[in-house]
Amino acid sequence: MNTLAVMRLELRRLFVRPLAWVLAGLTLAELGWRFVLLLGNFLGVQIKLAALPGGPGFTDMVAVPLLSSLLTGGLVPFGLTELAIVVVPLLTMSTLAGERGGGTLRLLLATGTPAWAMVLGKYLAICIWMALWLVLVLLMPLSLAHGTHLDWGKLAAASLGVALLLATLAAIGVACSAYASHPAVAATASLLLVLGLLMVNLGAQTAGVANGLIDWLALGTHLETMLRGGHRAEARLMRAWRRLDGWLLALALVLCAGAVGYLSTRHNLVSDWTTGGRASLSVETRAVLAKLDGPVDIVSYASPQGRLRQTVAAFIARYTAVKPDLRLRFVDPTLDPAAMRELGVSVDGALIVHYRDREQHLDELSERSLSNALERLARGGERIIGFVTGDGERQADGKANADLGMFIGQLESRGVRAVPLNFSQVSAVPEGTDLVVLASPTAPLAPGAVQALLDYLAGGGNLLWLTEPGNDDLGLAPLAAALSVQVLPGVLVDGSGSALGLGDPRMITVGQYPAHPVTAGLRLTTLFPQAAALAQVSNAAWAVVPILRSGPQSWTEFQPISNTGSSTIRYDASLGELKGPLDFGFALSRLSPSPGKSVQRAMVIGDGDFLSNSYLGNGGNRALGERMFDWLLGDDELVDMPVRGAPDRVLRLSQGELNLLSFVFLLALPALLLLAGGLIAWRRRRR
Amino acid sequence: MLIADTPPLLQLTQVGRRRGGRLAVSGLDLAVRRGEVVGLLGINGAGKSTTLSMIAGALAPDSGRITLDGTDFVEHPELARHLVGWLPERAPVWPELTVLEHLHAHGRLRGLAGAGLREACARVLGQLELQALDRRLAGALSQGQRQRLGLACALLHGPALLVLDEPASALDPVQVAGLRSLIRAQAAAGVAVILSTHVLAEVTAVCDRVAIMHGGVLRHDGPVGSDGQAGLERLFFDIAVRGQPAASASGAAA
Repeated sequence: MNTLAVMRLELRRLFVRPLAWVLAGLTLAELGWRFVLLLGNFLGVQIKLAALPGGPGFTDMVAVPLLSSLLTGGLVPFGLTELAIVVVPLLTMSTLAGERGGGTLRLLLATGTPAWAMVLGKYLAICIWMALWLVLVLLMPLSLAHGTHLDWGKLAAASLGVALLLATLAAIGVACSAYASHPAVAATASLLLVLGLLMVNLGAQTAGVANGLIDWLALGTHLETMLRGGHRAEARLMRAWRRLDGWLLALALVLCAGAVGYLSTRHNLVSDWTTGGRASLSVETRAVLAKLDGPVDIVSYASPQGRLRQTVAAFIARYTAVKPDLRLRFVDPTLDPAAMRELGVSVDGALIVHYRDREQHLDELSERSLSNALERLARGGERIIGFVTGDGERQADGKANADLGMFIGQLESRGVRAVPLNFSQVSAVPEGTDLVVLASPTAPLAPGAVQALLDYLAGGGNLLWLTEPGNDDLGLAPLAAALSVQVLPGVLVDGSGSALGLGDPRMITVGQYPAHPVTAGLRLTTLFPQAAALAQVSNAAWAVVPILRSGPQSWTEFQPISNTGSSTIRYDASLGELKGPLDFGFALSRLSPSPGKSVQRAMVIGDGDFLSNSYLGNGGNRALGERMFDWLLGDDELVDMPVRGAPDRVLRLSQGELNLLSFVFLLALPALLLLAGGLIAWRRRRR
Repeated sequence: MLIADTPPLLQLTQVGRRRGGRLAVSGLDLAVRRGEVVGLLGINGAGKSTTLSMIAGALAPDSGRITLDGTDFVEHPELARHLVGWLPERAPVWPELTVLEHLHAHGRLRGLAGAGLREACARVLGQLELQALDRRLAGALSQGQRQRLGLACALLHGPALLVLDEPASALDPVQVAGLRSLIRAQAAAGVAVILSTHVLAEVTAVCDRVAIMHGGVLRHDGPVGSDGQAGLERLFFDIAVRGQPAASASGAAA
């Protein structure tokens, strides 16, 4: 009963003071600004999102980041959670420290109100204020519910999480106020404590450790110490208890928060409320994890700066929850760049997954890519790749600059075995060959070799053909015809490379890729020295997808370019030079002629240097090469991941509605709150 | 029936309390009966406010026993809710609340609600002449008005024991006279009153008994003597200067 009376008193004091209104008004103005920015950002990309079946939606990109930028990052640094770290200490600082300083604490105690009831009543009042604050913030995304299909489950889960966090912050604030002699001391202590806990969490996440234990142990130790104080006579114990019970309750509130955190680290009671279960691992991924009967070690080469390690840790935690012996370790890639090059790590956040004596490299952080990598590791066995030799091709195990030894060496650690394929010794591609690579021959191939390759293709075999400029007289025209591809004369040149400091116009860079399984999610720039342009020949036999394309300033240069001195080149249409954009990489697929396979795949790239020992480390060359081989070997989609896109990827919102929302949440609502606070204070002081 | 014949409403037995590392009250024995007005005197630091805080239930004693209406007050501090009304020194208030909001808050904390609460508020507003100030912020009140507000809060729930710590410290002479009448009226209604003050005339005017503390110890407890304020002054200064009453002075006071 007295708890309610104290709660009502505290609420009354909160709502008649300008502080609570000013805090609410200012924070809502900031959050309204954040909301408008997030909304504008979402509207800018929603056309792209609509085309991505598995893409994020309004709830992911606007509603949740509005509540917190701790997890999601964002355009503006402060979400509601971050603001609460500052706001809650200001609200709670006077709850008990202020009463003590003003002498009213004695009055409350003299009403027979137990100290615990006093602390609880004040805590509940703060919680009610924060609940109203949260509701006002939630009005922002909810005001657009009519224009999309909100992910209600995810929004509810995020709101509940934030509500619990606010309750925890309030508990810490009230506890600090109970111990402090002055409100300012209470606010400072509360802020430092929350920031400290935040740092502990951030540190634990950065190190890849989910840790609620530290908080739990510290709080438990404090409580235990206080309880151990009572070893005297019973009467003295009772008196001591009465003096402490309020403070103990404040401590208990914090303890409860710590206990919940601790329990959450010990027990996997997970309930996924998102539409389509987007927050949990798919059944397919769980099945892959079940196949792995030994420990899996994942090394993330993510630099400690920024949020990348947190993101990686949170992502891997979903796997660890299902497979506890899947371990994550971080290595700072900036400490030893040479070792990173040796490992083929070229992107911040790259993962190398180790299972038994095999490993897989990942440059993309997605359930699809990691689950496929795990499936490849689980499957074991060797994939045989036949490298055509004897015609001046790049050597699969060669260490010369032009050879592919470094790249193939890395592929072999992924369960691939490269074998030479010399058609002077064998008349056909041996059975069991998963892929044949024809890597930049420099001498004409014997007709028999070409025929063997044609037979191999006709039999449903997969092929990678790396060709080079000027290789049009090597007797490979039948092979090109069979693949519906024509190698265009001349060498591709592109002036735009000078912006990247490339002095040689034959260095072609590619930074944008089409939506194809080989290049999906690839954001690294790849470098192709001396590429030949390709053209697609009309033929219904293959589905041909261009995956590499030069810039609009490129063309096929027919004049020789000196490797040592300077040369003058210009586009000359009269010579038959073709102007860009020009394709120089094709991915081909068709229904396999072989009854044992479903799909036949081939790839023609107008350059072989990009995978050579000299250029493998440039940008995303290695990553592109791995993706190409994964696709050609059929390893890209071992796990058929279901598409689990957000239901609110499309938001129907007129310009008028957008303007109205901006006005209401950015100006009107905050101004109304500030006005209400000012009006209340003014009216009460006039009496 | 005489007051002396009734059982004590409040009984302190060997009560002690340390504050700030020193013994603020030691071995205190004191009994107050219904309808009795007891004046508590002492120089600053004598232990009066600590004693009153313990009697009001705001502070628990370190040792000894306090009974209220025959029940152990330390074991049952909730007794203060209905039985005790307390006006602390300087009458602390919540400056952002109005006079009426104060009364409502105190009433709810004392278990009043609805019509009972409204009637009690109207009654004490009338008694303390605070009707005109009922919507005034407590932070904007003069010290005297705050004293009256504090007294109104103490009287709101009709306590059996009224504990007043220097209630007249900021009142004008007219209000002091009104306060004395109020105290006597409360005593006549059977309320036990403990009045702490530095004004000896106030004790002789309204108190039945006087208790004098010095150094945390009760040095004198007896009825207000027939020689009135002069005798009380001699007694008080003897205790304040010498630490104990002179034989003659004690006798005169008694």
